[in-house]
Amino acid sequence: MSEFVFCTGRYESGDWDSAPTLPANLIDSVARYTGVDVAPSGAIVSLASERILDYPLVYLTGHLPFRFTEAERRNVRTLVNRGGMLFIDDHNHDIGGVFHKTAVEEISRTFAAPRDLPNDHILYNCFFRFEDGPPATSHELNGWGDNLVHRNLQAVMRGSRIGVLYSSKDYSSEWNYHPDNKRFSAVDNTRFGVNIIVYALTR
Amino acid sequence: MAEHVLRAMSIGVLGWMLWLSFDEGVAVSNVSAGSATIAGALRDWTTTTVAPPQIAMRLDSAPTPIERDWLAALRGAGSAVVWSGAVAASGMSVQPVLSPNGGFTVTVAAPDSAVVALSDELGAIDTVVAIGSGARFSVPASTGLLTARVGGTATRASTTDSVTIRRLLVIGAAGWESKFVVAALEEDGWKVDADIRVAPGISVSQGDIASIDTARYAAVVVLEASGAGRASQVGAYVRSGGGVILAGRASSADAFAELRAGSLGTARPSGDGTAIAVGATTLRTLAFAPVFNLRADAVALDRRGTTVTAAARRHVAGRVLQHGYSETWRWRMSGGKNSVSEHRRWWTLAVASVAYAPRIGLARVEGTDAAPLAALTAALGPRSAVLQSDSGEGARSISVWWLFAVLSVSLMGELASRRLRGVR
Repeated sequence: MSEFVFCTGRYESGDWDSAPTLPANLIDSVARYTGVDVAPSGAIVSLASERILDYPLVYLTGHLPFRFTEAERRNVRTLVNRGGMLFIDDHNHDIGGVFHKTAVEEISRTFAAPRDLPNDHILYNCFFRFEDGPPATSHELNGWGDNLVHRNLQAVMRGSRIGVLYSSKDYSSEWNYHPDNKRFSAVDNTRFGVNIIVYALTR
Repeated sequence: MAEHVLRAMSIGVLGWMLWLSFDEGVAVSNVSAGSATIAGALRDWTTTTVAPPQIAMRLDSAPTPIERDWLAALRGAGSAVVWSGAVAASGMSVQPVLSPNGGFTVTVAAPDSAVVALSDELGAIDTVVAIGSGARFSVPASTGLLTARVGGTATRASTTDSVTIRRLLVIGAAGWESKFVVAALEEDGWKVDADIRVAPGISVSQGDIASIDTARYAAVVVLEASGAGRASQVGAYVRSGGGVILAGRASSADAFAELRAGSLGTARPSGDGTAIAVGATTLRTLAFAPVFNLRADAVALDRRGTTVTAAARRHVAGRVLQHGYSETWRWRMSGGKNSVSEHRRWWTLAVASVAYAPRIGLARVEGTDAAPLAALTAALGPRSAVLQSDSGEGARSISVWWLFAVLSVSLMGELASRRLRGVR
């Protein structure tokens, strides 16, 4: 059986690599909490390459304007239509910011307009249980970015499953630290990342 | 004197012809007909006051059920009916596909290289050339009787059963294979329960998986050794008639040794070991582990070269399919533009091949003729090597012409004789 490889998508526009330690941190969490066969290293794959189809879960983030090229758009559309999932996180945590505006436009252009995901969705209890929906980030609680605590994640559905998961909560900042530093936290804040991966692997 | 003889001959011939005209309905000779003339011939033979003593049929196609029954009735009435000719040995079976999408598998037995044309009441469905001993069609839907034509012989059949489709259970581990197997089956219409292990003692479940029995499940797909915890339930389920697919690590798990068709070898890399271009992934390029040391009662279903990739066997009342593929999801994600539907179809057919599906008999459809040659042989006996060439109709026709010639000659002779004598 093939192991799960965490894939960060590289795109032409913007700063796709703005959270370089996040993959290692989530890989550590998956290995720590679950029995999922997970590759110790993540992969970075260009969205313009059809090799992206070998990775049914692709993580995208950035601060800067977000646009797909034609090849990128074609490939991510194929990926989602075949059952894969994109997780796109706004590293700005700012719904007035350029990433949010352009990413939502691009998601709408490529797939459909993202809608609020109900906070009782299976995503929030497929492994760890999050009774109130998506956990707030320290950036939200500290009033950074748009000074809002976003109550919902947004999603584009493909049938009953999530095809594109969009977050304005800036998990990219929240989880972008070395895995060894988890020992300084009372509660591991990457647990919701484990849920996203378990959801993608099971639904 | 000669004139009297000729006149007597003419009167005699006229009398004979008159008798023949009155005796039109009486056939005392053997008769014959071919496939093209059988309908009219049957009518003629039946309307005579005396049945022909022997009926010889030269056939290049099987008669229709009505014609066959008609001939059998003539045989029952005392005529010796014999037949010869190259009637294609064809037969047809229509079986419902064990899939929520329905459809039928139509199997037609036909001589090698014969053209088989399949149609239903709405028109043509497909035409293929038989290979080996026949042809097989997958028909998504049809109306009424299906007809397969082989040469001039029409074979007609319809399904005699409908099947009850139950749920599936997929047991696996969190990973792309489990996810996409469940997705493929659901997309093809199956209702799927799933037990996906995420961590020791923790599973993501879908549906109510209280018990594994044939009252709830049509088949169980075990993708991971994690299913070993349910091995005893799965074993009991198969023994009671259920179907199971063992794939991935489940295929080599000791807990399923009682069920599996053979041993599982070491996984071989995809293709010839070189990287497969995206868009070129197919079932044939996927990595697989060979199934070897097949049990005596196992049947190899699929091979790559000489290596068995899938095998099946019966286990008590149930069926077990074991295959060596553990990454079919790569076919779906990285295959050509039809790879999603191909992957979906492949999994549905795999499940259908083992599924437990109670059958409900349907009302018999009128007009079926699933094995025309066999029915012809049953009704009229085996093909005859030698046929009587005598034809009553032909003999009657020839005798009338001879009588007419004799009559003409005798009248002309008498007339000439009288003229030579100077008598008018």
